Amino acid sequence: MLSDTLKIAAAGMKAQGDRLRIIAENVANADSTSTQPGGEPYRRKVVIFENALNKELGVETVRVAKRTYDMSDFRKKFDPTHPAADEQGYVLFPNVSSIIEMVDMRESRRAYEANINVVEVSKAMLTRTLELLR
Amino acid sequence: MNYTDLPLFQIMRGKLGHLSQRQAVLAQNIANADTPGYKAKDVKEQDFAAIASRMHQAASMPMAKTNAGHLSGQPVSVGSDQFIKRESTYEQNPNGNNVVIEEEMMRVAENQAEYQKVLNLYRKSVDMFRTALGRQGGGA
Repeated sequence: MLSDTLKIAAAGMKAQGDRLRIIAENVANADSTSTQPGGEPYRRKVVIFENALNKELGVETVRVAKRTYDMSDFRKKFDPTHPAADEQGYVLFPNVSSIIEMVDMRESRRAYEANINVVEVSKAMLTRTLELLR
Repeated sequence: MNYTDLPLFQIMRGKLGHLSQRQAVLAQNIANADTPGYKAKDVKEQDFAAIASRMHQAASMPMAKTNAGHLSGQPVSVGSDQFIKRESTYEQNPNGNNVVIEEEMMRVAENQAEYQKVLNLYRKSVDMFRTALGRQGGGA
């Protein structure tokens, strides 16, 4: 049972790691505009987690349900000299806010650390149990 | 009869099983701290004191066996764990998730302390047998 706990925590860490990767993509592409005039820039990605039964372990773990797009409006800037500017001279920038991404990253890290903590605690419990053999 | 079949050892084993089950449920809560709609779960607390006293009664007053085929009383055992949804938590996310990581970490720590307590008791009890055998501690 305690080894199941380790696997659940590992699944949590994996899910948070995936989320962190998507956040990294968003931050890296915070200024990726289109190359064509009036074209769409990079669209912010989001991950959605789900509680799923792991049939192999017989316990419910977490996994990334899907990666979707944030459909909110793009940022608009007036810059007629930009190659991606439309007829009115406006350029669409990604709907990525670096502040939101940073906060999301902190939250993700906190959740990751919580999972690590569970691993450490469970490992200590398991080790103590095994010490009964001595 | 194996000494691990004694009521005391049985109850401690039951409690350890219960606590490791709870640990798995808490791990699940933490892993799902960001899952939309996930509700924090817990394992229903069992009244180990009552089970222990029932076990003790069963052990100290066994039914009389007048025939080799008779069964020896009602076996008392630790019931299986029931999962419950935790109703009141400190806060709830707009997406329906009500896991509070801090609360869960507290429970994990509490669970670990409890586990260690029972484990130490178990160890001490085994050591008592060892003392009686004249082999104090170490060596099986």
